[in-house]
Amino acid sequence: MARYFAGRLGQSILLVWLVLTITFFLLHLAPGDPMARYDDPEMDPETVEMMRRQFGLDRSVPEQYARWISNFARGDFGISLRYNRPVSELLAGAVPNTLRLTVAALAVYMILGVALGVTSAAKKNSLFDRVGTLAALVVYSIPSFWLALMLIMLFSLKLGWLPSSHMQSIDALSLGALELFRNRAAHLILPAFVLGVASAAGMARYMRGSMLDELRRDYVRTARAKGLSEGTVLMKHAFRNAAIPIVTIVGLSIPFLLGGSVVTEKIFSWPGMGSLMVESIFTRDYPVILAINFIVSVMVILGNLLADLGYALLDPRIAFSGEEGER
Amino acid sequence: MSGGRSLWSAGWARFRKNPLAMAAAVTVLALYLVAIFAPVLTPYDPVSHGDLPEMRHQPPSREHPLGTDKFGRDVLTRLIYGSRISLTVSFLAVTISVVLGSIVGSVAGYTGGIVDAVLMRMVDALMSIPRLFLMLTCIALFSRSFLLVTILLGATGWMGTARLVRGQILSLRGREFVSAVEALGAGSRRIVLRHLIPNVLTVIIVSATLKIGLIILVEAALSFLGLGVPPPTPSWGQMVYEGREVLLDAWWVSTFPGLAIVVTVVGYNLLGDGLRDSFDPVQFT
Amino acid sequence: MPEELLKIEDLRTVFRTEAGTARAVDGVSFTVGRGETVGLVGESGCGKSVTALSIMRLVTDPPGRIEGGSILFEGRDLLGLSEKEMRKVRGNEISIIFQEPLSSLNPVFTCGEQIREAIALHQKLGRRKSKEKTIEMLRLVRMPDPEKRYSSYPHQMSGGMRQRVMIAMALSCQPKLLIADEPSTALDVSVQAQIIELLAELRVGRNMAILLITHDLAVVAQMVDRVVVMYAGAVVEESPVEELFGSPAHPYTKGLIDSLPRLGRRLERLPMIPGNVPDPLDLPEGCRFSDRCQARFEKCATEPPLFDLPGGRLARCWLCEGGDG
Repeated sequence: MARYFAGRLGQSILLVWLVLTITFFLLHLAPGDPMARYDDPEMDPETVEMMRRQFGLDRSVPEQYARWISNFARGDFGISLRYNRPVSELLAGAVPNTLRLTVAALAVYMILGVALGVTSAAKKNSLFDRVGTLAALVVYSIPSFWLALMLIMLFSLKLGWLPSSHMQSIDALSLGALELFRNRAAHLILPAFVLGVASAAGMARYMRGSMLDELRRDYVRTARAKGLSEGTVLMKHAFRNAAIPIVTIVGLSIPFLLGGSVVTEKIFSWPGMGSLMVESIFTRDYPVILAINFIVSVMVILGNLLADLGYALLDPRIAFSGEEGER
Repeated sequence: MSGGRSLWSAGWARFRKNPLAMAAAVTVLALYLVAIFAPVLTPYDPVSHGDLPEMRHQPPSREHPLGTDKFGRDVLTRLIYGSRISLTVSFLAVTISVVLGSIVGSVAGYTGGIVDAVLMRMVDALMSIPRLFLMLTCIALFSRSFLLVTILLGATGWMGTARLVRGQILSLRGREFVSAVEALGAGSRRIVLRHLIPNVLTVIIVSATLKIGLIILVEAALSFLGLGVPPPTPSWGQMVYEGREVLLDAWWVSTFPGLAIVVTVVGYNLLGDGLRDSFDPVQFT
Repeated sequence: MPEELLKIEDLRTVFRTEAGTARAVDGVSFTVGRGETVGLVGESGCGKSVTALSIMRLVTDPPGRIEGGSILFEGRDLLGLSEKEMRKVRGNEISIIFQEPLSSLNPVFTCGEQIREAIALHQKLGRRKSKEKTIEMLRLVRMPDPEKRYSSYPHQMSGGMRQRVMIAMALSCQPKLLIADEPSTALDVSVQAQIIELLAELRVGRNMAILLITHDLAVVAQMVDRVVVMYAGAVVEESPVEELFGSPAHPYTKGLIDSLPRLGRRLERLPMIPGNVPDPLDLPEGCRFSDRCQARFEKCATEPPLFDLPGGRLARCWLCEGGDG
């Protein structure tokens, strides 16, 4: 187990390094000096020169590469061209907001997806199952930005039930702790739903298939032969087996959630990495763009690593060192 | 292979019996026809602004079945022309990604060893950068155009195909007919092209169909963010964006282009599901 | 003949597939007495396992379905019970053990938990009491180190140990009938004998009837009182075990016995019954065995009934008409 641990960790570090290298080459393979493309007439030549130095563009390519790797490894992402502040400071503000949104979306997607998938499998070929399966496919095909607008139109503009943007009301800081929590929760509902629902459709589809596979297995017949109720057979025996791969699925869904957060944050004016990214694209704030790329990739790689470890911990068939196997 | 033909006709027979898949195929075909015959289908121009201010934000009517936008342009007309962007970009992008993925996947799967290891680590690394972030970075680095968006959509989506093709090749390599061909002294390129690719073709077609839906969604998201194919060409994502300020007063401006995206993507996804259920080789073994 | 415990009459179980309806069990009748061990014998695909699952009402529906007949257990028709009443029978009054112990155990629960669950359910015992009872059961089936093995997962055990777990689970609630579906087939040859011995030993003193389903006539000879032979979904012969081996009445039974390896008879190849088991989707007209039978004659074009033979024997063959065997 420890060896597997170490191996996976090494693999992850290698991946982070590869991601950094790819980004470096993207920056340098693009035609011309990255700064040459930064042709903002309002920018004075001095700043451009400063940025050249910051990127180390006055040095040789291998030297630049070495500096780039060592800076990023130390968490030094340079200075934002637009805000003239360290990129790490900007990220420190944005990353927790994105995490709050993605974790909420993750909850939406797991609860909705698992509940729908298991119910569909339990009532296989029923009307619920048929309608649900088709509905999942349709939900999966809805562009999130459009879904967001439609929900805003209904719940914010027409019904006035939920706020349509930002993380909290402007006067939020004057509220008591409980009120503040409720205010933030209300602001979270629509964006978390929009971000999570497409993945929920995928999860429901996976969960249905996985439960049906498990229900065909011999041990389910044994469980029934013991006289257990159908509910116990389903929720204890089949579900426990079908649920183990969910960790992996969640790990694999992280890139989709992070990618989706770009659009969701933009629509709901959510001050996270996605909003920062879009803003930086328009202003060509390269240090921020590259740092965000790095951070999201590290999150994806870390997520996959944790998912694999979680799988190993949950599945008793994967033996821990020190425990005896078959004799 | 002698089994090839019967495999295709058996798959087609299964496909025809699936009403949902057939409906999806008809829908997708109809969308292409609409895109091709756009000028015949509508009397209006998708780009030029209406002359009269009172033409702006007209609700759906006989003359304008889906209403007009803030420049008095017919929404249905723009939808019809907008299908050209979605369909062309997604078709070209999926072709790029499938070709790229098949090349990398078959080289890795067939060569094996160090080449395989390096290529697959590259695939892993590229898959670790969420697609939208990778695309946005490239868009910031290069100047935005129809070609750039298409190439980027293709170039960021090939990794799944590469893994799939590699896996197929690895499992097929071990089978007897490949060893038989190798024993006859055929060169390795010949083996890949003549014997392996046709066998993985069904798998590739199914995955490409399922991928098109996602590409359309990503393209629409880019357009919505204002980072897709540049104006004046109407694209569905951009049309949704244009209506977002007037959701209550002119709901039709955002609603219909969004529905068009949903119908198209559902069509492709159902088609892909139908093809997979009919042609997936796993089902016959 | 002991008092009747199980009486199956004209049981018919079908499987509906795309290609048509397969009559897997087609009018099967037999009885099992209290404390009696009955062997249900036949080639794979003859319907013996489906018969077992039908008794437990565990045939997967769809595609399977019990279409008719009755299964009287202590006079009650199991087919008429509600699902809830049937659950009180399963694992409690009738238990079953399956051929493949690894896949029949849930991989993510400990073996102890899987036995304990049945005890807690039927005997209404709390966690501690049911755990004690489980360890007692593990000891009974000669599990080495039962306290420790309670917390082992199925994959951490050998095949023989897993089958002991299955037996402990099946016997935990003192069932009146144990159905053992090829209990030793999937195991190593040396372990096979141990498991059969264990079953033979455990039935003593419990007054437990066993319906032993097997294709292995050697096991039958060793353990059972009476044999029911099935072919293509129907019973073709029923007989006490000595008479069956001494003078098989049905040509199919003869074929089965002739194909047994025997001491002092060295052959290059064992004589096999020629031909294949008929397709259950398309059973032949007349006698089901006729196209493989070397004694076939004109009458075989109509299906023979089960003829009564002396000594409480039955055989479904025109050769037995008039009771002369």
